[in-house]
Amino acid sequence: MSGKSEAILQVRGLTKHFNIAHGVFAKPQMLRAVDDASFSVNRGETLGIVGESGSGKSTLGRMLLNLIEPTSGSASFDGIELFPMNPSKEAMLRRKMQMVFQDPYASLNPRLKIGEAIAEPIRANGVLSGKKRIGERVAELLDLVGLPPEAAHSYPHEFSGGQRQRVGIARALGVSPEFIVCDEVVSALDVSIQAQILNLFAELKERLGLTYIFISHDFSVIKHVSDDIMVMYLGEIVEIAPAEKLFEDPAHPYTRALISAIPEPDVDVVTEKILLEGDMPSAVSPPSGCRFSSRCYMARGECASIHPALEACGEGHFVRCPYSRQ
Amino acid sequence: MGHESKAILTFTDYSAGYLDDEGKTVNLLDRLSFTVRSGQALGVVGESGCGKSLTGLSAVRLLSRQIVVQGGAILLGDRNILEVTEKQMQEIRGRDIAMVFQEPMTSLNPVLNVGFQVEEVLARHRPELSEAQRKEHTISLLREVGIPAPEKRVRDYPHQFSGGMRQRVMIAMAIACRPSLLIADEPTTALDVTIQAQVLELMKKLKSKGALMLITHNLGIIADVCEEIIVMYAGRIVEKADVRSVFKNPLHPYTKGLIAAIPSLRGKKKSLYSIPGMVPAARNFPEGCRFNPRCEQRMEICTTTVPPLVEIQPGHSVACHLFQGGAL
Amino acid sequence: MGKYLVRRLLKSLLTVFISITLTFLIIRLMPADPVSLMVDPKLSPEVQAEMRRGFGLDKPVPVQFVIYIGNLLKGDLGLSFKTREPVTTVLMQRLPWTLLLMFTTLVSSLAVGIPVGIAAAKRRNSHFDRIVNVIVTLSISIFIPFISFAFLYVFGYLLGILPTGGAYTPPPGHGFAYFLDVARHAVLPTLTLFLGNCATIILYSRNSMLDVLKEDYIRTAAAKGWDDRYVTRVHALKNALIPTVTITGLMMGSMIGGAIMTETIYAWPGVGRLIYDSVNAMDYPVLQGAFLLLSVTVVVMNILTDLVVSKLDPRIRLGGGKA
Repeated sequence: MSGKSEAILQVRGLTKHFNIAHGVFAKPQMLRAVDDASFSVNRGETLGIVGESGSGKSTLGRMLLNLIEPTSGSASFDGIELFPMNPSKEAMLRRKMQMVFQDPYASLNPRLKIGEAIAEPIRANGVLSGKKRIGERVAELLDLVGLPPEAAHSYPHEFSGGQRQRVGIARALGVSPEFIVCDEVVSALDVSIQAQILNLFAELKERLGLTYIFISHDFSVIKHVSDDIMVMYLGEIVEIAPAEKLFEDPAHPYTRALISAIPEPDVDVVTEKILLEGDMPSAVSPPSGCRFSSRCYMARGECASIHPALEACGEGHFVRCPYSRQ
Repeated sequence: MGHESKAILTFTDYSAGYLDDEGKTVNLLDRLSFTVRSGQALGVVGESGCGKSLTGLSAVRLLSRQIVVQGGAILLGDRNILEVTEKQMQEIRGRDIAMVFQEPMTSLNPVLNVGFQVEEVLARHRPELSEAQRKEHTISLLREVGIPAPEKRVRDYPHQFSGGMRQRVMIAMAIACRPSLLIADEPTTALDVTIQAQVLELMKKLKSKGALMLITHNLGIIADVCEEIIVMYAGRIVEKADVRSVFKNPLHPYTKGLIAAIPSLRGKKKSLYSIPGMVPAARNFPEGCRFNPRCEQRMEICTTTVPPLVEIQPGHSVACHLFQGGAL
Repeated sequence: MGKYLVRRLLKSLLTVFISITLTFLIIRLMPADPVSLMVDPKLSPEVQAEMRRGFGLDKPVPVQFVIYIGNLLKGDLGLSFKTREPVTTVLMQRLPWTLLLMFTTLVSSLAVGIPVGIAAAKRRNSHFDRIVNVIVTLSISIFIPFISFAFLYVFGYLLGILPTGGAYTPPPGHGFAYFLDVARHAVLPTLTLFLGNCATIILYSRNSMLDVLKEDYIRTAAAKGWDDRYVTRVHALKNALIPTVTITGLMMGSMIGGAIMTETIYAWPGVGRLIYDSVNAMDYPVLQGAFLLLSVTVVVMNILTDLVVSKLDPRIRLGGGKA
């Protein structure tokens, strides 16, 4: 989207609705987690997806790795259509696309030694075989993420959150993927550890030529790591723009409110906070028309009845709001 | 720095530790000294394991049974609350000092309605109020913290509120008796950023009616809400100053490292500074300055002698050997 | 609430129906032939065949089933093979005795179990708690026939202060004297059942109380300046009772038939003893009727338990809000 390289991932109209009705005889109740997501990611770049709870960003990330089956829409990676998925396609894609998760305490099996946890995807995807070769690869990966080789023989509970997150990264890198989805990978970490992990991600991207999708609710982190940023609200993409542009000139009223709400560690910066009224509406029955209209501080009469489309408003800049420039 | 403001709460050389399985006492908080003043907000900042939550709980003596006080005093006005009886402490809690905790999802009782949980505080500390007065008071408190249609919502249960609304209920409970000090332990960490902004605005408004002790790991929030700040590391205060001084001129290497580690919104992307190593467990606190193993400016003396907290500039204290002897 | 109840009832009916069907099949598929019991094999084959026809045993099993269901809907549970009485009558004679035992056991178990469990939780790891744990473990492990005979021996034979069997000393009388007599007879069976039930309730109350005491809202309540007793009573209790009520409901459901051993040993004229005797006599209709009764009771108990829990827990009553 920033124009330099070609797109490695193309997503068109990806949608996920969950039926959350209880009971055998109940009418279906649809939770519209993601609606009509369309975007692309260029090779070697990082797309940051930012949004608050209920925005659908995690669901979107999981759909790209076939951890959740989409309700409709399509996506292609390196020219290969992701959906519908079949076992042989999945096996191949798993070697190219991987994921690192948020909770370093929950995403590692407490009964597996670190070395085994890292070796698992390598074995499962048939990338390497033979104890010796796999052992060497594990040592290589530990070194890559800055952990000592002895770590392979220890259990997760012996490590801190930051170290476990490194293990999660090593695990994802085992199959030599080209593309990694990072879902809230630093949210559970202290600031100084967060910095270490973010630096590691940047270094790995350079060294291994990776492409990332980085999901977070923390705008500062997203701006730091991303080339382009996608803002989501209540299951929809409301704005896409290059990182610097988005920050300097946010078009969508939600983006503006989001940015103004960020507490900056700087006493000289006094931002007039745009305070939104109320809470995020339910994704089961989102507001009609523009989903942000119920809380938008510049909403007009039509906003509640007309559903706006994502339209270009600048170079590589898209926004879902017809009044954004007024 | 507002020396004219009344001191509401003063920690003087307060130390606490916990009893390990062998009966030894492991130190957790070491000689903390600071003051919270009326009409102001003091930020207590640090990462996990620094003891900031423990400090907050110490002020209301809600520490778990394994924690023992090792020394010092905590003065509320002119009373040392470490010496009052439990019964007297129960009078203080909720009336003079109130707390707001981090997890709004679990800090409210799920089987009691919200109105009851707010009324409770009034029932406890203001027995002269009739039931009707309590109910009225509760509704106006909920309105004050920004809950829409409070008359209807008093009968609702916590699970019928969102996270941000629940936190407002917690705040309503805390300010019900107009305490002179409100301690908030990571009050917005579990909330979305836009909701966080709403809740912080509310807290800023309430600041003027008392004093606020805000415990958090987020320096941005401190910059926004607080006037004074103490930076904690491994149970000790490493820097204490007004907020402006700390951000403009951080002295302690840890403080500097912390600020440099935050990805900034402005300015070009650069590699973030990361403080090498990790926070040690309490059992393994090093001799001398507890930060020394991770400090890039470590000297010989740092590994043997604990640096005292010394006022280097007016209103700006730091505990670091780099600044002893009045050096700057 | 109404819709929820209706849905629940429909599902329960389905459960009961499946239970009846399974019972019917299992009993029919047993190798023993009841007719040979009550029919003197010396009788001529024609008479035997006549008897079979009379009991409907000559028809194929699916047909028998349909007839059974048809009669069921009319309230006719058939006749006992053994006594020729209507099964309904037999059940109705026995049910009150079992209910009585269930009632006394339940009340005593709850009255002792809940306070002890909660006290143990609050004094965790103290001597009191440890002693309670030992007693609970022993009580749950006790083999009912063993303890029953021990009680009978000590109280009935050695000390002679309690009767050794039955629900009353015949003939059944009226008024207060009769009441006392039944009460005396009920002591040992209740005590036997009480041991296991009370222990379970103590275990559940203690564990759920321990869980509740760790919750954040307990800390919040303390931060308001309340003392320990108020916090336990107002904040902890209701939450801790929810799992306890659930387990009690389940226990009660199974008690109706589960007291088979106890009732048999004490010769208590309840449904459990009836089941034991009917199995021995291969009295199909009575067995079917008894199992039907058990199914219905368990289902009813489950619904009642759910209702009580929903009264305690507003999250269930008002439909789950946000997590």
